[in-house]
Amino acid sequence: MQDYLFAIVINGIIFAAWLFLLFKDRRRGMEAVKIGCRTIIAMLPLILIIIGAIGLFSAFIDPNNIANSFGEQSGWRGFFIVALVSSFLQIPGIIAFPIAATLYHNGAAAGVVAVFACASTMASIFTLPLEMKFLGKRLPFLRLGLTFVLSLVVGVLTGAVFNLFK
Amino acid sequence: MAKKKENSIWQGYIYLLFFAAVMAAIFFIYPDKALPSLQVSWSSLSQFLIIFPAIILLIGIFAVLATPEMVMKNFGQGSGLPGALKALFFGSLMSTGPFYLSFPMAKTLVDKGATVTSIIIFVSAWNGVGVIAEIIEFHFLGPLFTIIRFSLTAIFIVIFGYAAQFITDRFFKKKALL
Repeated sequence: MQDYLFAIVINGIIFAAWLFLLFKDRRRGMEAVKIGCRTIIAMLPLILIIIGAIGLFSAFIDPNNIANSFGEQSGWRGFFIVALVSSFLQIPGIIAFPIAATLYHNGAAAGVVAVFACASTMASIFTLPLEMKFLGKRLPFLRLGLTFVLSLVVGVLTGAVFNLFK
Repeated sequence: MAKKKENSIWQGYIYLLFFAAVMAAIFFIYPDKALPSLQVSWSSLSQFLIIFPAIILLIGIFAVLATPEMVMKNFGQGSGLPGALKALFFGSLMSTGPFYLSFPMAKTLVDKGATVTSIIIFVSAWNGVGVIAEIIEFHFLGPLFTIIRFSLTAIFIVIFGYAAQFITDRFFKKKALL
């Protein structure tokens, strides 16, 4: 299957890169594994919660509802709702994309999925105060507004191009 | 500091236990939903597990090689398109760290004299088109979707970086960045 092919290839390439690093600099090679494991162990609870939630979501939500609200025929409403809701969320990409895939497989339009992927990862209202602590008032607001527009533009274009090639 | 970090890791596992209890309660009330729900969870868990070794190693490799010092040295004050593309590249490369690290890092770049364009691009690329996230996207959503969304997002991050600079120059009286 295509899915597994990519996973196997990428595992192979990155393992080879790591072996190369280990060979060049043993200490840094070991350090890399340690940091990687520590990061994943810290993220694991969130990943598992999201995986559990994806299961619940799929069992309880009727795909027809998703398709009606966020499917190809949902029009502008689907795009706007997802962009608006997502701009409250700050989700790490590692977790955002499995959620995006779940939405897609349950009938959401590719464009709407792209809006979700952009808006939920790039900026959020909840993390605005934190961002302002470091970057002042102006830049974070500007970035949040631009991200909202960007996610809609990228979403609409992604949807159009994706359906063209699909 | 290290102590505090350890606590927060345990906190995550406490949330996980709590969530598991809620899930068990839901399955107790709706027994017929338990099997289909767990089947979906299992299939996405196995999809995760198969890519885990690559993610662990890549996070580690980037953490060791793409250090803040390395970015500081190469980020420079590059103006024009090369500077913008550099910001895009380093933002994506540094994304192996969590999002909240992107802000202090960007602050340091501001102190070093970075422009509005490169700051907006750097932070947005860190969170929107990070290396690790793109591998996950490719794995879960397939090559076609990933290539289209990734290229469009990258292009518009750069365009909007310039837009942010334009808005700042044109509409804000105070010229200082922060």
